[in-house]
Amino acid sequence: MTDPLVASGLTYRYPNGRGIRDLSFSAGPGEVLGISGSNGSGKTTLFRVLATLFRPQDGTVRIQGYDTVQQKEKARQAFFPVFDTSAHMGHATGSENIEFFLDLYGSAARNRVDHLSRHFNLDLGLPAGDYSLGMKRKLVLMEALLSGKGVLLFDEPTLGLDSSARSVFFGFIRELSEQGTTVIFGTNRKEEASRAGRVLFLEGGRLGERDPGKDHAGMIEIRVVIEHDEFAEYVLTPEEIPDVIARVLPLGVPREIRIRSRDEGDLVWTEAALEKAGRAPPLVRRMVVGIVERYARERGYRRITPDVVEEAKQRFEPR
Amino acid sequence: MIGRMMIGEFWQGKKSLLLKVAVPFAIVVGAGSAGYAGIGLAMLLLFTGLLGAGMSVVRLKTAGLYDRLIASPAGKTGLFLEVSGAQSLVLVIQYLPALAGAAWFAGLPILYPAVLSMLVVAVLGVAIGAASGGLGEMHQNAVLAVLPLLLATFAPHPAARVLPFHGIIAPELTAPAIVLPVITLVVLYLLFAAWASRL
Repeated sequence: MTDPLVASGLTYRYPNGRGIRDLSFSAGPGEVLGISGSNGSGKTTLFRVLATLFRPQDGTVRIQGYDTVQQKEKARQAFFPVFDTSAHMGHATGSENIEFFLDLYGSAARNRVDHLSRHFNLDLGLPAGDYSLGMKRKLVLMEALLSGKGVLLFDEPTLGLDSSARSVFFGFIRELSEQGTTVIFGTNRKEEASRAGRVLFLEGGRLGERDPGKDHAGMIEIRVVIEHDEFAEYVLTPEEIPDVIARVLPLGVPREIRIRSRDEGDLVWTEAALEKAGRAPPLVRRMVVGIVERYARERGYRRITPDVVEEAKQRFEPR
Repeated sequence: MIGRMMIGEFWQGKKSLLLKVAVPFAIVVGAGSAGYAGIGLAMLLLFTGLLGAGMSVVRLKTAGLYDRLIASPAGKTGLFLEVSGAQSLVLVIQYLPALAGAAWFAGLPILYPAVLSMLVVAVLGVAIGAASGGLGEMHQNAVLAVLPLLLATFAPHPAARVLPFHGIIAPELTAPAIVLPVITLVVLYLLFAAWASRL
């Protein structure tokens, strides 16, 4: 069985010489593939070629086995693209836009509209022209998530989204990927790239491959489980942790909160320190451990004693 | 569905619509009171009709809607015909008072070439908008398209009957004047459909 998306020797150059050159990669069933790269690295050009808006000057793209040039119409039935704009029919409501775009892309699925709008906290009764930038982005993401297509293409999917909406989006992406949907998304944010199972790094229109974990070295990973959804956020300093938690809390009561530092190297906890940290309520115990470890690494401590726990507590305890 | 949505999208609010209805009406009535109702209407359609249709499509491009329509699996021939159909309908509605004014001054036969002219400028304008990269390029292309149309409109040669604009200036209900512009319109639609199907 061939991969749902196979790009081979893909080239598209603008008259000024920029663009993409000789890109070959594939994305397997259920794979979440991140395309990372700075501004001007060629991500948007690549997405426009994948989405059949640009005809490749060299090379081929096959989506679900269909060549995007020779079998364009069939290939277009196999994917749902989200471009870097969130264009909608401004006069129509959010619901009408969902209906229209799902019809346009030949998708029948409508059963999860309420579920998604609740999670994205989006009022679908308003005209899309009255939506803010972030709300329009949520609407276009909802359309993609509802489309039921086997391949989803996202160029900068979280543009204009707040932190909790980003978490909601990646939660749904994980859910779809578990059901076998192939997701390819472009981003220039390190913390987002690491949500992908594999990350391709674009630079000057050419590809390199990276371990997403390395992109998060030095960051703090916060994972919150609400009902069946797991949200992950990455922050640079422990001071940002309460904000992230506060943003996710309106979505429901967390079953679990896990916080860990992405730094390398082990820390040693003394028994007394563990006992002291363990006095925290069960729900936040892991968070306390994460904060203390982060504090210890910042200070260069390799051994965590009750004094270190106390120092961290005094520093981060709400006043 | 696409056509209905596009009509809503091309409709740009009450204030804008009022202006688009009132200005052509005032121009046609002004020109009509001096005995030039047909010329006034033809010039309006050639310039504002063509540019308006082109600008509507460029606006879709700027907003990103055009890309979403093109990347969809929907047949592009049908899609473009629906878009130009919606544009034609919006144009006819906006020009209704102006058409009534022209009919008052020049007689009812002016309505036939006038409505056909609207269909021609709508399909040409949408095609020009779709083929242009941006607003500047669209203006340039529209001006290039208007020049031969102007010549054909005012040429006293019988061949000018292939375009409906000539009939607005000199309305006549002869067989060539009725049939030829329809053939032109059908050919234009077919050419446009063939081009659109490659997108």
